[in-house]
Amino acid sequence: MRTASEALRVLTNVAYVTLALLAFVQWVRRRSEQAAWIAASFASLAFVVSVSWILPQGSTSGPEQFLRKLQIAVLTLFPYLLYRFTSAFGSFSRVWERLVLALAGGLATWTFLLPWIPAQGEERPSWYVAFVSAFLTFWVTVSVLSAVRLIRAGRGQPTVARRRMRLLAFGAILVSLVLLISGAASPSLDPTPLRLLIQAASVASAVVFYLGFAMPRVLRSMWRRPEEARFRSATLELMGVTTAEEVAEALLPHVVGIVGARGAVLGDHDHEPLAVIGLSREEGHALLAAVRRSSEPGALVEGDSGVLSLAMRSGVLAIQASPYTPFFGQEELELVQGIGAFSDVALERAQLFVAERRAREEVQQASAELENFVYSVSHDLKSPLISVLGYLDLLRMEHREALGERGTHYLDRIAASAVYMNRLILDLLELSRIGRVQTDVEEVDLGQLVSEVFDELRPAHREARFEAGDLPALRMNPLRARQLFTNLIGNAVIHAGRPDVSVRVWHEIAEERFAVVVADDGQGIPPAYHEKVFGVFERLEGTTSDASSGTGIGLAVCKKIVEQVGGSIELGFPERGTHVVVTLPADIVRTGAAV
Amino acid sequence: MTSPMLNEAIRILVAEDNEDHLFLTVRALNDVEGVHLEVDAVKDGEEALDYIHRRGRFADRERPHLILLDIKMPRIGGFEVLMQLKSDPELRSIPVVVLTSSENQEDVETTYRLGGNSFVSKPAGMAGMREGIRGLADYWVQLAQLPEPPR
Repeated sequence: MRTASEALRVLTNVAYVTLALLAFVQWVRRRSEQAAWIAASFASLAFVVSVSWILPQGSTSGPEQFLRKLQIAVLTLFPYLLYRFTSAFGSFSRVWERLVLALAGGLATWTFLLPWIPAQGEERPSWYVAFVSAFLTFWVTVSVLSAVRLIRAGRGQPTVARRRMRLLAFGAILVSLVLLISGAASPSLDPTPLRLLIQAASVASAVVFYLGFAMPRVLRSMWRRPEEARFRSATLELMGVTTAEEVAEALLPHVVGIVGARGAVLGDHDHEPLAVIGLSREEGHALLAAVRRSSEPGALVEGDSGVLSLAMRSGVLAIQASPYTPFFGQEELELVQGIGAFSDVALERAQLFVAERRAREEVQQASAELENFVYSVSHDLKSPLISVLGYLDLLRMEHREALGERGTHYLDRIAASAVYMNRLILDLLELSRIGRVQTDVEEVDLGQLVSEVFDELRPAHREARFEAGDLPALRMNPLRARQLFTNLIGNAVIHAGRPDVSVRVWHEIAEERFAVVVADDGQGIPPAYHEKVFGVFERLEGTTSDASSGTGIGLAVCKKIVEQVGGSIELGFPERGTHVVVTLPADIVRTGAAV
Repeated sequence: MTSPMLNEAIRILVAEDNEDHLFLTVRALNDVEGVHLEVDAVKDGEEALDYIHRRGRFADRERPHLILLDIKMPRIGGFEVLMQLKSDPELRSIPVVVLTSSENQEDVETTYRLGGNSFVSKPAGMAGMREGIRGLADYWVQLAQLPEPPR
């Protein structure tokens, strides 16, 4: 029994001295008011426990009596120090603080005025009983008051912070119990089991204080799971967002949840609120205004009365947390810093998304405007041309004789140019229409279409030979398909440079690419012009204004049609003639029966 | 098929702001042989409506049998004129041919949606306008039958 009691005493002593040292170290590190008061509280307990360790049992000499009185006087300070610790988190009335200080000071003075301190087992005089009663009443009342304050403040706090606060409160209550038992116990009782009980409770209080104040990492990480789960879901959500609003929506609720805050506000670089949660817009504004500017990104600054601010690359996050959060929930704040960093990445990505979308819209709009411009210009050009051609017609009809042969020839040249210009305008109109007008998609039998185009060309080109291989069906607009192949096959015949040209159309499938080839054995196109021929107004023959040879817009129209269905068009490199290769995306090709 | 009104003059109103187009249209109409056409012209939509409603300086005109209507005109456009005519129970029987330099598909659809009787794009090319108008007159005046315009 004795050895057990001794062991417990040693343990208690070591525990409290360690606790006091840890609290001191924390105060040196944090330099906050709260840290100072909690360090002083633990120091007072460590002193009291250490003195009982030094003091021999039952000694009544003068210096020992002084030490014993000093011990009790310091013990009266603990409730005051703990009370100050809990007061340091908020603005509590100074009156109560002073009252508690006055009571503690009065009791300490009273201690030194006592004639002597009775030893253990000794009969207690009535003046001593009166002192002990006052002492215990003060001690228990103030400690329980502080404990209740801690427990109530812990509500809504992150799990670890809440438990740490409750453990501190529980420790204070345990110490009160120890004192109550040892103070109220009648000296006539067998002291050994009682002392053992007291010492066990002392050790327990030390352990509880230790857990509350310097919680081991294992416990902290175990109890922090809900907050870490929130952190993970926040980072997951942030990875999927594309707008600044979505970032704010994913960020703020988790931040508030993790630190148990009342609300939070996300601000831009000028501290203008972008999104608010748990606060009114005005409160959010005020919160951001109170936050210090120009901190390093990632830095978390603790302001007054629980205001936390996290500087981000893309703005600032201000949190209205409980004043207890920075003291008890340091690691939760680190999680918030982590979320902040993720949000920065998400915000920057969102800005990229927005910039990209805007650029794309601008390009689309510019392109649409250009097409509208081309449309209206070519439309306006058509009107005077109708007049020109109309008057030419009248002139030739009514004044043929006056004009003579030469005059009529000039008139014919004017008319040919005007007709050619009309063709140009019509083709330009067509080109602008391909981009402007949405078209319906149908299944087009390419084999049939090509043979119809052949039939149309045969009467005017009796010497030409036409040949087509198996051709598939295409899912595209039938008018555009006809336009495409009429242009390509017509070009092959018209630009062949010989009347007996042979035109062949077939399809190829190579490396998951599907291509339709329109080939002729005409004069061919020099490779230097291969890129140019698909531009608007590009013709190889030069500038003859002859409507029959085409306007040079035909291939540009073809290119646009093919690109609109997601394909591409280019010239092949045959030994003879010209190969136009139209590559089409597989999803519009219906091979089936054709292959 | 022949028109029962062959002996009577057929009145055509041309609404056209472009003087050259108007001249060419009227010339082409006058060249149509075998029918007696009386062609009158107005140069914007407001005048066209006044003419048809026989208001102001057009109070003494008789209503036309057929109207050739341009789309792009100052003050009141062709579509507005068309909409007013075709939503008027008294006037909607007068056939309206939209004759325009536009080839826009939307304009074609708008014309028929508003109750236009025909959409013709002004022909270009040598002899285009003359041939086109002649074809138009052949169809509307000689092949198709026109109702008697409301008095």
